Amino acid sequence: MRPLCIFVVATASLLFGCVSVVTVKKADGNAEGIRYFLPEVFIQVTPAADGTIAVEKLYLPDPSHEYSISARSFLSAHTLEVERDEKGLLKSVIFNSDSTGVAQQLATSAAAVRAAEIDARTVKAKADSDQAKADVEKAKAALETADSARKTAAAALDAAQRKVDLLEHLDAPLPSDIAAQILAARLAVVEAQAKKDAADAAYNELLSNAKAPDTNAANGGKKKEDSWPKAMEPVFYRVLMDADKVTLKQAFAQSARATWVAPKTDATPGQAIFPASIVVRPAAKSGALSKPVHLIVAAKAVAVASFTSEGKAFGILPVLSLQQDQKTIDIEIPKTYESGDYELDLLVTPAQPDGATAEKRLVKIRIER
Amino acid sequence: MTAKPVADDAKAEGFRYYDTSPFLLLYTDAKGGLKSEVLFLPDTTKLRTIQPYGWGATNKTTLAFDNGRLVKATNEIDETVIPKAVISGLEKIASSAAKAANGGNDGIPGPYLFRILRDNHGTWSLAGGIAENAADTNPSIIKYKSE
Repeated sequence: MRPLCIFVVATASLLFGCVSVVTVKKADGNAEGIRYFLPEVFIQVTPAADGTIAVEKLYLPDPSHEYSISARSFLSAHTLEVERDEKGLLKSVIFNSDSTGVAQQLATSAAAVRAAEIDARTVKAKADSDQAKADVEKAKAALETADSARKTAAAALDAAQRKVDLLEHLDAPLPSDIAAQILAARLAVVEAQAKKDAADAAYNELLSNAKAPDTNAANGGKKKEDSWPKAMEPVFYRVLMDADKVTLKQAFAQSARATWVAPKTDATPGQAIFPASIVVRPAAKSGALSKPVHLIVAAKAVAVASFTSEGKAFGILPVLSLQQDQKTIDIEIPKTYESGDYELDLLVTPAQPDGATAEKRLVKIRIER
Repeated sequence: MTAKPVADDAKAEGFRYYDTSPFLLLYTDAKGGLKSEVLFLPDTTKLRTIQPYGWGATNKTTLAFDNGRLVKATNEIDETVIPKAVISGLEKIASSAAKAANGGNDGIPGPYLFRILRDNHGTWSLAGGIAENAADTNPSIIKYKSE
């Protein structure tokens, strides 16, 4: 029968002129051609700290279902376009066989496919390498910029502090507005300190990103990961299918992983209160409990949000007076309050821009009688 | 172009893909209720193959796939259409089973997954249940607080 089969195929080829065939085989280690996978289905459940969950489908390449694609032609030409996604799953196949160019294009298509794959790998490897270099350069430049900003901020803080020292130790005769000058200089110190803190934080974050996060010298060699807060990782369930049922099987045990809480960004220098903690003693004659605090940026309104001590709220609230400079707030505490530590939450509405909303600011108060 | 089920994957030829089947996914809404979704997943029990070839003349074949499912090839898509009323009924059945099985404050109950089945008489049913632990068949509990 074999000669007959060969004859039939050869005759058919002559009659029809050409044959183009795409072959897809289960891949082994040496198989040539373009590889693709069938997916394995997972359900991913990501818990949040508040007890809510996010549930998603997840398709991962299944290594037990890997295939290789190749194409060949006899007395024909063909083009084969195979598109895969980043997971190696097949997206599309366009196979175009064409007998019109027969003799000119007895292309070794499998070799062409192989060559294309090698080319694609080379291009991707170069692109990956270029990207890695660009990332390193970018990170280095960002670190240098942050370092420069940090040094500038430190210099500004030093200058502001020196100005305060100078004004506070001026010899007589003193200028008439020396008190105002000292206050302005102190406010400048606070502003410079805030800027320096922000610059330091930005620099340190870039530095920690640039370094491997496995150890921390400040922790005496203890892994930095151990000092970070923890959150539970997602759970992956493998979808195991039978013809008449389905089972969700947890793929592996769930663990706690390091996480991070970003610093609050609302404490910008513009809204800072100076000082943030005050000690109030009764006035010599009147017994009044009053003290001013200052804002860096002008406010158009201030109000008391709450007045508490050790979590206990009081109904009789301090009286606030915003002075004409729009930066000085006089706080007058009712005389009935005893010695102790209190927390005064203020609602400060900035003068600019129009329509700005009130922001909460805390002043810690110690009453000493 | 021919498409057929795969009996022996090692010997088969052509592009392998999975047929699609419907499933019902249930999980807690963290408020004492349940959320449900009908999922059309690649069915790993339905491995198929489709073989394009050119013989004698110009012949262009285009196949499109989505996560292992064939989504573009004439007459090859068989995505079961489930009436809305049936989905609603199945959700109620599944929700009852899920609520009965819920309980405990150690963590969040794992999701449920059911295969949606239709027999030869047109009767719809569910087969499946709650997610299982990695090591045994006990219900999986999702931790959301580190120790």
